[in-house]
Amino acid sequence: MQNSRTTRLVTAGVMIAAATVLSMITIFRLPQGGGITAFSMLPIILMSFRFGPRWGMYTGLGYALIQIILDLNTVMICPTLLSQIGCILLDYLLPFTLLGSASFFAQKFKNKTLGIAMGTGVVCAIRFLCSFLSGIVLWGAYAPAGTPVWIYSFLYNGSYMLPEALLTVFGAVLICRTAPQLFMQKA
Amino acid sequence: MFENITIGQYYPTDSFIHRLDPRTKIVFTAAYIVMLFVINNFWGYLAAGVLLVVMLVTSKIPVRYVFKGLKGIIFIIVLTVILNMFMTQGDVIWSWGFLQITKQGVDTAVKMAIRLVFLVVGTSLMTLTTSPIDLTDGMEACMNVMPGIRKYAHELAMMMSIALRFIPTLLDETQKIMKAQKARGAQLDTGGLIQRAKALVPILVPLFVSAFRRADELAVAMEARCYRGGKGRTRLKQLVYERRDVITYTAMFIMIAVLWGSRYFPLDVLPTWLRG
Repeated sequence: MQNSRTTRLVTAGVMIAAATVLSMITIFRLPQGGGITAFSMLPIILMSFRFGPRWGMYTGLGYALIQIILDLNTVMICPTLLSQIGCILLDYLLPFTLLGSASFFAQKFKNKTLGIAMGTGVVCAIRFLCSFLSGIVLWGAYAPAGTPVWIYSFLYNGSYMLPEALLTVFGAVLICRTAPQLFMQKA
Repeated sequence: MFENITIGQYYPTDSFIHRLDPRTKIVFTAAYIVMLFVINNFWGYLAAGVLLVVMLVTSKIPVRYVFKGLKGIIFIIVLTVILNMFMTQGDVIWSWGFLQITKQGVDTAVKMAIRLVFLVVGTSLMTLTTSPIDLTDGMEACMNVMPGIRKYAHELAMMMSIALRFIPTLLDETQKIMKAQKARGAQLDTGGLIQRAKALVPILVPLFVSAFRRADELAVAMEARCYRGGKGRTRLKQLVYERRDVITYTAMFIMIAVLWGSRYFPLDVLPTWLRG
């Protein structure tokens, strides 16, 4: 009963809601949009540790779809049809879905806290990579003249993604210390 | 911390467009987006603009609501226009130092700006007239006809409906926990990044604990009512196509024909500056 598919499905839904709520709390806001949110990636990562990477990625996909529905305007400012599809893939579907694979990377480590820290770190890096690529491929036109596109993308995305990633790892470790039962596997 | 928070853009009122089936609106909006990339001259933009105005009027949504959505992206539109105007090579019509504006540049910039505004207003019309829940229902129905993702359609939609239903609940809960911790002396708005992040942990843990509890309770309640996935499940609100949906689909095909045809409309009746 506790581990039924219904429980997982419902928990996934509630975790998506938690992620959306947390993404509304910004600790620091950057001028060009984008900001550091209060651990909005954690619910998806938590889901991944509780129910395994498959369910984590499923939850991530749902979160991406909700973000697209709630934030359609941002997708629409891509100038061509192809770049809109690219934006949906690189800025939403791919990074958020892969967030859920955190527990897959954590399996390699015996120490639980280290595993959680590494798993979280790896998926944050993947998310950064996706944004970095989308910055080069889709938003390259906005780079100031003279700056190589990849440096621009690296700096722009790094400026908020790096602190966010560090905070998320930090938060995951803190929560694992204070309330390890939240990460407990239920599969 | 929670000022000006709205979930989605939905503007509730009663209009022809509000009453349309969400599937119709999704398909129509998708067709409109694609057609905006097909049109390439003045006639096309004129037709797409007229259509947009007609839809706006029918939707009974106050114009300022629509433009509120534009405010957030005005910066990026202006940036696109400036970049295109100065960076496009071609016949120079104005230059100052290394800056130059070309005829082709102005042409691309204007078209790009109009297209961006149409795109944003067009899709806003869908999110303004359809609640996120209805949108999710429509998405499920659309996913159901796509082979490959069909078997995930129900679960994804269920997940998203639950999420949308719980966003206000958890928002409320977060506020309560924050107040409770503030009453115990927690300082959430001061200090450096690390201090603020640390201060958030006593909020996150109770939030997650209660979220997991709520999820378990809901799962028990659903299983007690014999929920067992999407197969053979019936709905309280069945999506049914009505006459207005048929009218809208007809309008959509006329729109596609007209906008596609606009590529072949004669341009030489226009004054020279509009022919580009």
